[in-house]
Amino acid sequence: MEDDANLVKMTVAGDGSAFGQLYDRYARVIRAICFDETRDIQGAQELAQEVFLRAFARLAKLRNAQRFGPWIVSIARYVCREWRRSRRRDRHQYVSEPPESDPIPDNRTDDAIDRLRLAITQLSEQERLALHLFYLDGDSVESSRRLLGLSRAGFYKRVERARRRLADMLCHIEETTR
Amino acid sequence: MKPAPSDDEMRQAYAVFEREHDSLRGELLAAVARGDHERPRPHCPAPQRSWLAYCVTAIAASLAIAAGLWFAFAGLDSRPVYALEGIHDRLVKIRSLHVTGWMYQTVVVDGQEKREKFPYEHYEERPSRSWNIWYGFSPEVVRTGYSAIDGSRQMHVSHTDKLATLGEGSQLATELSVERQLQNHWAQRIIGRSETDYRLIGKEEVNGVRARRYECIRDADGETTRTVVWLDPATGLPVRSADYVRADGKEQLSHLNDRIETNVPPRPDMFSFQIPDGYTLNQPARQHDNAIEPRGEPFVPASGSAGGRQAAIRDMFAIDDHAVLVCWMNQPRSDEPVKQPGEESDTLKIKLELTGPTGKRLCRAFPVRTQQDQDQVWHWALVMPCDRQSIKTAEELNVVFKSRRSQMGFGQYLLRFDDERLATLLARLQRETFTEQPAEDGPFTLADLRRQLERIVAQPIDAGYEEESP
Repeated sequence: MEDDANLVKMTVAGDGSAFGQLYDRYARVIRAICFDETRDIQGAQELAQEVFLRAFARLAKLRNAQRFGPWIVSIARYVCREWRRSRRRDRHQYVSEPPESDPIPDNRTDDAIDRLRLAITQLSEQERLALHLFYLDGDSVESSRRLLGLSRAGFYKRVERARRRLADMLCHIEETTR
Repeated sequence: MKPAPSDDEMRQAYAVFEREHDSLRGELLAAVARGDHERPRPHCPAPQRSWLAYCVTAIAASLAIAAGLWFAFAGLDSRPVYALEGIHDRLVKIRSLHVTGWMYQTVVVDGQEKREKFPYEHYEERPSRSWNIWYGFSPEVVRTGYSAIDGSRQMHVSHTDKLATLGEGSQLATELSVERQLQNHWAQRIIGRSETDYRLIGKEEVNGVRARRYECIRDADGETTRTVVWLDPATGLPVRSADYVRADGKEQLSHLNDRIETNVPPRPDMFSFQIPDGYTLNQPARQHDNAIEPRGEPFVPASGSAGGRQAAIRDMFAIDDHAVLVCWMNQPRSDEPVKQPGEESDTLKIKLELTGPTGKRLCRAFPVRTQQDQDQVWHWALVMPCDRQSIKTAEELNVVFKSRRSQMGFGQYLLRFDDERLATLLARLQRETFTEQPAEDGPFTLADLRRQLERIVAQPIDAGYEEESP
């Protein structure tokens, strides 16, 4: 399997399939990062596409191709910030037809999973990213080293801490809704 | 204390980010591929994806995926592509553009100023077909009609006067006019010039497309304008755009390009050149009697006169993104009195400057050749920025002529062509649009210009004014 640096070089050289591989490697995590902001899966998908388009546009300027992972995560954070600011400023909703309402996700009937997903968005950024990598990245230990600068032990500790915090949050939510 | 969510619950929560991965991947790869100007294809329906997924053998599946990637990347340019970035380059490569919309103007109705909206429609098709609704605004009346040009014929219809004027067309002039419209005017009108100033602000169903909505706010000359562009992510081309201006503390819509379609055929009636029922036909005998010009003088998009001098600029052509071929004229008007002995000579100074989103860059001109048309002497020259950096699509070349009694400035965006088309255009322009034929050694060619550029880049370029004697 090619490493990120080689895939970046191949993409810049014109090999489109290489960018497809980078997409496969990071898209799910980027979607999760965007979901932390949008709380809506379709919005997250759209923002994630935007992140990859911007990454593609700037790929030739990436000085250290090995840093593609942290780099695209930083693009995702920037895009999310932009989205957040634009939501505050967007006062003209010029439409000719009402915007299409978001389709109800299949598993929205499962309220517990929904609450869990939303609770994840309330963790700290580092804890969220650790969970995203753990559950979405095929080689999470290696990715955590690149993206979070954590050792294997440190990474697992952070994942465990995040899950315990989730437990506290969900317990609190259940108590307040009774 | 409640136990932590189980691994299974966590995986269920994260499963949603796997959803539609393949189709999103395909959409993204299609969006980054260059040269794809087909109308958006319907979202790949499940059965086709199923067909790929259920290929009989692993080898056949690999080949199908590889072939799909190859087609998705056919023509992939190694130059970077932004979601909105690169839209100008995509716009300039389309075969046709059809825009319908509204413009808002303040007119006087019964002595009262009123803001009204007027419908417009434009169609431009390469190489040389153009159709548009036109308006003439005056305090007394708003005139309107339409114009159609297909290179060999042109028709100008006035609904106000119920008059249709038919005339000959110039294929070369129409071709250049269509390029000005597609490469510069409409790209400018739809998106402005600086793609990187736009922000993604949402998504919306527009004209049957799930479009991305981008916004750009600009402050210039005390006026705030906001442009919104709806982009089809599958083609990277706009489907709608809107311009707002802020005046008197409130924002008003000034232009709405409501429906933007690319690579579509014209309506059958657009180039039928049929005289509308009940209209009077006006058919000039010769091209230059009451001739209809496509948009002003056919080959001279900009001209003026001041202080006893006349000046004009022809189309400017980009040469390899590092230079501009310009053709200019500036001389005393023919009705100007002849200079008396002892009278101070009117030295002409020319300032050349590229202006764009990143600022201004001084340039220097290097003469190529002079060529006469009637009593006007035109100067062909290569213009290069003094910093030798490449010339961006968003940059406009400004030419300022300054003499003792006059100052005239012209600014134009460049026309860009591939080598073959540019070479043909240069030869035709020199042969067909000047009364003086090229010298015995023939018109200068693109190769000649490149050789000259090679010699130029070997020398340092001084910034500042270029002095020319009249």
